[in-house]
Amino acid sequence: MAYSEKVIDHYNNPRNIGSLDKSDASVGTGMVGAPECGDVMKLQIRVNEQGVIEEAKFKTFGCGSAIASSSLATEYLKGCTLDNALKIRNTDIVKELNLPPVKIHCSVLAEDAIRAAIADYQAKQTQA
Amino acid sequence: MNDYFTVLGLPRRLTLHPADLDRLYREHSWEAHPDRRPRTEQAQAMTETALLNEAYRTLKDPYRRAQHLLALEGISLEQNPPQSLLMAVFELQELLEDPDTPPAELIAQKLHWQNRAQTLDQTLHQAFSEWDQGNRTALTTLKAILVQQQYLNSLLEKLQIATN
Repeated sequence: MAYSEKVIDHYNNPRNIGSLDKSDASVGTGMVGAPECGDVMKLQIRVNEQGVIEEAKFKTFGCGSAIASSSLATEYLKGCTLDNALKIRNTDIVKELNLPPVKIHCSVLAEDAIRAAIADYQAKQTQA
Repeated sequence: MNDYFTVLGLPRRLTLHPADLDRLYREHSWEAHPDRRPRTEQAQAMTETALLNEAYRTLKDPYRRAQHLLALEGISLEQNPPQSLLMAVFELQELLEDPDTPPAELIAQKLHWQNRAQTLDQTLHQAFSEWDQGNRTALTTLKAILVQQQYLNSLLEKLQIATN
């Protein structure tokens, strides 16, 4: 199976790779995994006081499509409000990256990671 | 979907002695063997033999046996693994990726994860006896075990390569 050019581009030049301080109150961390392939994906967001995502970072151990999906997800997230971030769907990622049917679960993982990061951030706010 | 327990004439129980399974497989294969069937039943005999082979392969491995049972019981394996496991997997992946990780650390990790895999084997067999005693909550335990096992397998493979 051939990867699309966009997947290869994200794979070779991943955007926003790295980590944020997970104990920081303005940072939300989402850690998700796909047992069938042993993939793990960590996606983090830093949210400012206006509820806008200022920074998004990821690190993924997995196949090219999983890396590209999370890389693209961080691009979508930057500058996004939390409400709009929740509207990002895995199908947006599938379309943009031309993912074949067998790789759709990679985009689902990225959507799950976004939701988990937002949930973690929101949980921190109610605690504070 | 084929019920491989039925195919081999077994009750839907998880504790299974390899010798019993081997014997049943041999007996059924003998009956289904194409040489023992009339010409008109050749195609049928081939299908039966293929099914027996697949049933045998699936039930012989305890994890695949458990997976088959969950599928028969209509339980999907899709589930997010526990956060603690994901964290541990993530940290190990970082160690594997870092060229400065000392080899002794990788060997220590390999022993640690091998131990975890052994503990998981024990948990699996406990869940087997619970199911065999008619306890349906064992299905939930089995599902959690299978999700973990998939991660452990791929990690152990990577550690094996890294420590060779």
